[in-house]
Amino acid sequence: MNTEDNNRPSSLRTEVPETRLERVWHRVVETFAALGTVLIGVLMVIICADIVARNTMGASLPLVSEGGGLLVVALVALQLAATVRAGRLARTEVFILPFAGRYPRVGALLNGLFNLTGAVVLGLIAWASIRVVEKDFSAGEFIGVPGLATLQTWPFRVLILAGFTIAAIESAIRVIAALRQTMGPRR
Amino acid sequence: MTPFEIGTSAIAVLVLLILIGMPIGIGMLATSFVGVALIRNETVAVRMMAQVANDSLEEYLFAVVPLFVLMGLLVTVSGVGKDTFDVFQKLLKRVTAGLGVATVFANAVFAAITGISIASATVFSRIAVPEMRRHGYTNTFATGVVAGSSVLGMLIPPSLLMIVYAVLAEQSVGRMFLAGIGPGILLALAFTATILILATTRRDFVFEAGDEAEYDNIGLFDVVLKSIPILSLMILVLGGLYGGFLNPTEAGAAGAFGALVIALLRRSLDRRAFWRLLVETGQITVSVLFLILAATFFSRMLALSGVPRELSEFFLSGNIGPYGFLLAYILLIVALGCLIDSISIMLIVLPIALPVADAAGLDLIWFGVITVIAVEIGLLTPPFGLSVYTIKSAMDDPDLKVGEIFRGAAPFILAMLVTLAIIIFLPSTATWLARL
Repeated sequence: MNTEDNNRPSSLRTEVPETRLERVWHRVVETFAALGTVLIGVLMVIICADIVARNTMGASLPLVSEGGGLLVVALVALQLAATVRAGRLARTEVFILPFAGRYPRVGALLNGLFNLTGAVVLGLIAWASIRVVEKDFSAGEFIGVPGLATLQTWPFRVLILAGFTIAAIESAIRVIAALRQTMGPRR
Repeated sequence: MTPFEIGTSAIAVLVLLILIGMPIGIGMLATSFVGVALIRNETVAVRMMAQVANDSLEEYLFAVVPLFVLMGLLVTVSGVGKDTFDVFQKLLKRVTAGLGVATVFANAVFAAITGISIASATVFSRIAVPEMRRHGYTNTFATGVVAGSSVLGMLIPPSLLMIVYAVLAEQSVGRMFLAGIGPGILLALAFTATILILATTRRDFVFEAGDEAEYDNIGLFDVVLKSIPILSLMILVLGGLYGGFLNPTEAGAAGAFGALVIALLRRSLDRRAFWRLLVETGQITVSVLFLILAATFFSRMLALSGVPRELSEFFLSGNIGPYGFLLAYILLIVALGCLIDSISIMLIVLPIALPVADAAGLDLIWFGVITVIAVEIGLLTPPFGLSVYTIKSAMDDPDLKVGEIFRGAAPFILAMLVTLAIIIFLPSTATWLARL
């Protein structure tokens, strides 16, 4: 599993001083990620509550199993942009790291192309998810048992849509940064 | 182009993109999208991709990923690993290369409360390596033992790799966990044998100085006291799971909560550290689940292309047969393991290989155990062996060369291959508990 990467050389980071707009955007990405982080804690707590309820009162709490599934999708979508930003999407580094170290400009261009692909793919998902939100909203899709407890699904769909949208934008921003590095002065 | 040609080209392009460093999930989504667009049309491709993104992860079971990861990270900071090591150090004091063996056993027990190998590698490189160095073991051997035995973390349940396999192969997570126990013990014994053989035949590989250092002498009472946290976590998670009180997701939640309580009781966690762990958990979760999402789309594209069907015919109708297929499969995985990380390998290879294994009538639980061990060999093989790099970064010792760790881990790769062969020829080592 590709999770540790403390050894990423700085040539791959794009450290251009942040403008105001970039700072605001950074804040947006971080806020979404923090929301996703909180969801992990929520997930743990509701499932533990469910265990206690079932083993002491003999009945599961409503919404936990279906809601748990929705929370998982939401938490992935919410944190996707931050993961893209941190360069933590799993990838193979045997070629690109030495290559980008040797040829910084071509390496930056290649990374730019990867991010461009990411922006297009994630953007397509976001665009096509609008339909999913509309459908769930107009049909009043819900989880749970009517009369006991129900929860509308469209707010989750909106979170998912928002998550993929900002992840697509984040990827697009990375493309621009990579282009700047490719065109910029030789270091 | 025929759908079959489109499918095979998509696989080829994907492999190329991955090798030059495109994020694997993005590469899978992109090639699958183009594949479906060519086989059907763009509208179908867009709708399928959006549907996968919205629905494929909407499973209660997937909540198990962040929960077990969180549990693994919590026990990493809580000092439970050190206690486990202390206990085995005390018990194995008189054995030849006892500290090496203690590392293996402590890892095996620690594996029962963590599902990620990097957690084991991080913990034991900080605990076991300095202790072994103090007692005259070589750097190569000390780090090699830690790297080798860290693979137990994802074989002995709970295990992230088993969960991912269970999801892709539509097997029960509980059964996959049970299937890992026998092979896990077998592998721990194989590692022990390796250490004993090395200590008697290649002493200079293991020791560089005589052992004059004092051992911390802990009393029987301490042994019991130090065993309590890890035993209670094991009982909570594995007992709950197999006693029928908890499903896998709930076992993850209870385990994470239990690990949190232990960490808080021992005051090894402040608010900031806890937040950092949650953020880390989130990033690992996203990178794993995003891969699963992408692999779901990839396998649907492959199903449309008919590649798995043609492959099964190729392997099973000719004179290659199921075992020929198995051999080719293991070789492919070990080769990929040199370049790509474990979970990614599984998500790339399984959509292609599972239909073949199924058509060949192989036991999919047994096939899963073989897959996990073969994939884990990749944690130790150069140039990209994640456990080795984890140890390197956890040790924070500029004099320690990555090459030394790889050399130290090499005998353990051999032990893994032997274990793999035993499991292939005696499938009951894996399936006996799971099919009970």
